[in-house]
Amino acid sequence: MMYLLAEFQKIKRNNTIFIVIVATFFINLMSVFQTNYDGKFSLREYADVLLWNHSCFLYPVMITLICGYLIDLEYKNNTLKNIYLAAINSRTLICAKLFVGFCFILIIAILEFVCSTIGVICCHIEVFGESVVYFLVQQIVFAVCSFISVLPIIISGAQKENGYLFGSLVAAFLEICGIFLAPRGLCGYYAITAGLEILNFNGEMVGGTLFSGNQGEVTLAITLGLSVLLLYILCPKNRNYMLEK
Amino acid sequence: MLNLVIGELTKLKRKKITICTIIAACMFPIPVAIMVIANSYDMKNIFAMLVQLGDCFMMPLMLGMFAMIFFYMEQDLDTMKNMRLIPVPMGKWLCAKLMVIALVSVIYSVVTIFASFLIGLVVGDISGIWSNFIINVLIGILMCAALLPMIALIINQKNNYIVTGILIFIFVMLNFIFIMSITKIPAWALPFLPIAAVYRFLLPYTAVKMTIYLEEITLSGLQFAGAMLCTIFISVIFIIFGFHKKYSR
Repeated sequence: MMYLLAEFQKIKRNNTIFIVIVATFFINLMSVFQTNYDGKFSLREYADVLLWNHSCFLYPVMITLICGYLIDLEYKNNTLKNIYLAAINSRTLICAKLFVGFCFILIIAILEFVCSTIGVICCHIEVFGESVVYFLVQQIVFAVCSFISVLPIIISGAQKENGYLFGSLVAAFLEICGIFLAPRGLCGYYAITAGLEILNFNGEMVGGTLFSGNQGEVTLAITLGLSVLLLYILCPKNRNYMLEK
Repeated sequence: MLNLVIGELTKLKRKKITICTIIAACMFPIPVAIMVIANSYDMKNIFAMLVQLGDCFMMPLMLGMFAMIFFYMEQDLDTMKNMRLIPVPMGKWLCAKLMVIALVSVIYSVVTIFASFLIGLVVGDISGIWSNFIINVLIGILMCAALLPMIALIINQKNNYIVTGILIFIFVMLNFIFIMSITKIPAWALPFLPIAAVYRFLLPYTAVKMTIYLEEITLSGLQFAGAMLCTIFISVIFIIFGFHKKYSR
């Protein structure tokens, strides 16, 4: 718990929360414009546009940048040696950082919910039977799915100083590929968009059909397995491993 | 000046970022090649897709990340004091950095066009490769100018990788939305969307077919020049301001 709080303090130093709020506000604004707002669309439609924008524009790059930065901070500040002095090995360090990143992503999802609820109130979107709680659960589930989908990139990028910047370029490339792959029936097979299938995203707005099936869960399970494997291969339990590199 | 540029290039040799640039340039040609082969497209389609996805999305993002590492390098390694000890004129040093960024964007363009040439060879159509080469190099140079607001942001920030990284991403994304859409950009917004302005100005040379909608959104030379000059002017002011604040003795 202490370690978690300490990591949050490190994030606080860089005004990251402020920038994340700006990004979520920007995505919500974009979603309102994309639905061709005329005061008639439902909460479900708005939620679908938000999910699509998150998968294709916001989450993959932002998650890679934030988690990668948390790991890279130790290289930059030359504090790795202090961490190893406290008898923490590189694998535990990366796992802890990923956990902190995961908590931060959950906070972003809740912030996103707050921003979108404000959007719903401001645009007078009618809530026909859809539960607002479901809206929140949907955002959190999607954030978790996006986090799992970029885990291999984060772990690979953590091996070198500034490696996460190249990782975020790869994430940006993959999310743009998702725009083309998802409507062609590959939504569930592609890790970045697998979360859309889990949440039964209505693909009509992007030229597809209703994304439903259970390939999404399988894809994410494989991605998670791959991440664990990468963690074991790339970060051996040798304490000085990252310093030696 | 040339010595400074060579010095900066030598520093880059040590960094893996140069290889990453080339890898980033080769990223989009792979899915483009798959799409081209699957749909039997011609050279015009290949070039249009590479400009839209590679030059207008991946290149600014990559250049932004590159500029971030490149400008923060001296402070990260604490070599600024040595630069002053030599002494290196700070203005010339800044110009050398900007020239290297322009050079990297041109290298990116050349690699992209080489990739499109290879895809063209596979499809059996390499018509107009030289004109495409010239346009792509021009895009590379203009993209560097379009990225000046981000360089101004980098110089004004205090080695804050995460905030700068997220802001670069938002800036590129905002531009990319206008690149993908056929909505007309209001004249007042053009200086704030320089990447989209570059794309829309060169649309007659990069589009597969000029439809009436594309003709409507294409920028005239005057509009483009006005927008770019405005962007460059505002950015240069912020660069000079940030530079004096950060690097003056």
